[in-house]
Amino acid sequence: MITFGILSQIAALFFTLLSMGLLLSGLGRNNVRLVQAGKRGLLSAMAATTLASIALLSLFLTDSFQVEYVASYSDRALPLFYKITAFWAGQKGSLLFWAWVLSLFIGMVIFNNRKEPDNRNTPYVYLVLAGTLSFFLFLLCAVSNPFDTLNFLPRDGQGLNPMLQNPGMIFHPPILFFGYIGFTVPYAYAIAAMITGNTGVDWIRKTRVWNVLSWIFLSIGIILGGQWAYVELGWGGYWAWDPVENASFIPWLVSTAFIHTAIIQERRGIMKVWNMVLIQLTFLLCIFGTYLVRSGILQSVHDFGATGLGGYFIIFMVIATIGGIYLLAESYNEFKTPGSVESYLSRESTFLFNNVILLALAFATLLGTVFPIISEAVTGNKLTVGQPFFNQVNTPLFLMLVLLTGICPLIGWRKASVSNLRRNFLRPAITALLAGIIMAAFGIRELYPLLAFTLSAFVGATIIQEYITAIRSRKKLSGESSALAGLKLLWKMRRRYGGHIVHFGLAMMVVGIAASSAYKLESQGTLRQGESLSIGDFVLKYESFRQYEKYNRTIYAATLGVFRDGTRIDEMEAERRYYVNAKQPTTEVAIRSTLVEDLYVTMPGIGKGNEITLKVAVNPLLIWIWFGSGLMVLGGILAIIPSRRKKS
Amino acid sequence: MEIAIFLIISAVLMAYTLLPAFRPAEPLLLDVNALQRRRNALQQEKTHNLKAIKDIDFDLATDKISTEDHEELRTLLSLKIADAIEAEKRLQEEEKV
Repeated sequence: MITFGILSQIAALFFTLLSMGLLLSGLGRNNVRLVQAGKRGLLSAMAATTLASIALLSLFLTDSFQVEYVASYSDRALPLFYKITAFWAGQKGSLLFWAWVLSLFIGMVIFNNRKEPDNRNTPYVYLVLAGTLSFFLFLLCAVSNPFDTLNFLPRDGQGLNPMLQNPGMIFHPPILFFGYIGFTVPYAYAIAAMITGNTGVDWIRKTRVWNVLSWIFLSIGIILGGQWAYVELGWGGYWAWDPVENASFIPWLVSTAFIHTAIIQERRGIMKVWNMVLIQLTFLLCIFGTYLVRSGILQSVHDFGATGLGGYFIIFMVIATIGGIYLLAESYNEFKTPGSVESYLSRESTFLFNNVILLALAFATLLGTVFPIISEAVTGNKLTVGQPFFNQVNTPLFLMLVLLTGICPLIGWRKASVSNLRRNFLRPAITALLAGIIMAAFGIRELYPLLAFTLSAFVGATIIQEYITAIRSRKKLSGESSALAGLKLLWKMRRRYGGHIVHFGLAMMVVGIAASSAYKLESQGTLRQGESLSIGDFVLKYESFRQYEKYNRTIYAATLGVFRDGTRIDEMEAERRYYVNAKQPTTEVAIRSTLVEDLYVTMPGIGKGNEITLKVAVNPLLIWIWFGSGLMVLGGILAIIPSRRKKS
Repeated sequence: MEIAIFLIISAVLMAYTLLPAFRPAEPLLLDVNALQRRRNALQQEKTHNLKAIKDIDFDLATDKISTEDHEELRTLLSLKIADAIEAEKRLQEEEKV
């Protein structure tokens, strides 16, 4: 299988380069047959990459430890499930996974376009896609080959990092990669549009589903990453502004800005140049994200394996950047639009402000992330900026973004009159004010949390008001019942209401983030059996201790009774695990989640006579973050459900 | 054995890839000419403005813009559509000539 895997990778690279040659000669000779052959070349590359991936998977499943990558990330005792996920646990496998998924996405693009005749635009789309694929295949063949063998046969592998043996890790990396890779498709269409001078909205329409779907994948990937950090790392939080977290968050911010301005281009035919800039930036940041995760340039909890790939990624990004700038400069006059935003009081202008804030957030996060590299280049010392920097800079920007999220649904396109605004804003503003007063009455005095709750209430109120007004107006026109009108509106205007659901989810997340960050309670103590530790309204009683074996680990578990007001309301089990082949034991977090708060328990130490050390936290409203993010994803999905085309 | 299987698969993929190249050459659907581009631009202008009218109708129904603003914008957009239709007609006549 090793030889088969290596040869398959080489074949994939060969077919990709062959396809590029065929596409170029098809364009040069104006021959559709060569373009068709080029597309088939890409499908062959997809088949070869799939074979290489199957080869690597089978090496993991058959414990082929003569392969260095398999020996580094698997062992005999590793459960089957994690042997599969070990595929993308390290740098080499991740690169093969990138190439495989990209080749599959290219196959999907070819399949989607199967009924359309090839014009001068499509070969360029495939050329950009093939160029990106060939870069990753080149890395696999020449620099970072997952099929490299050891010159001895180890009896067992080193095993998978225990932190990665978590269900969240099964889906988090591949879904994040789907997001990163998905943005290659709109990028390819944008580049093709610039080369051929197709200034219309076609490329945006054709890639809308790819844009939103990639954004959804990126969102799910980020959320799963946060949840993994929360349940696995045991420090009680979900987001630490870690470089790799930021690497996925920055393209998410820019792609969010792009999704908003793409709507303006679709509706108004303006901002064409800006959209070209944003999609290129999103793509480059996705590549940068992959580079950051896998180059080892910055230290991070995600730095599971690092080799010298950095130079290749930098060359690729420089070529893409210079090429993009050149094409944009060349086609600037064609893309420049005479139209403009007519009024500051219009939805377009709120979208523009939101763009400014999203990009400011992206820039601040990027600056904080790469600051160690900059400081090392300038001063020779690697200086890092911590959470306080990101929180201080980003929190006010986020709050402004939340405010705009609330304002946007209440303003019409093109022009809104002051009297309408006054009328529309009255109720949401009163709701927000009341929410603020109630929060203040309950003792919330810190500025940022108070603003976060108030603005979230404002967003929620504007969306609900907008929906109710639309239902009323539909009822008036159609005579339908409120429920039917509401459902029909949701379905018929799913792009609009999908967006509103995303915004509602964001408001819920903001509430969860503000509450769990500002009002977190923490406690710590060492207990003997029968002793208790209290935190907030809860008392945790150490009731029993047991030790057992499961799969590839020995588990030490402490059972804790949870008491509130003297009544035993629940039971929790905090664990300490010793994995086969792992040097350090790991803690397994016990979490009791309700709508109001999370009780979060870790057991960092076990002493003589099964004496345990507990770290306990109460995170208020934390579950709202997961619910809110779930709503955001659902809203995104609703917005891209295609409408049935009417037969003309 | 591995190499033999790989060679067979590669040969099949190669044949699959190159097959269209041996068929008689056909031109690509050429890029639209200037006239067609102009026609497409006018078509887009019409579509944009029609959509914009739908949007402001919805905005009026949900009380986001005043009746006066709606009327003013609707008139403006309708005029733009009328201009586009007029330009399309002129283009058709030019084509006939």
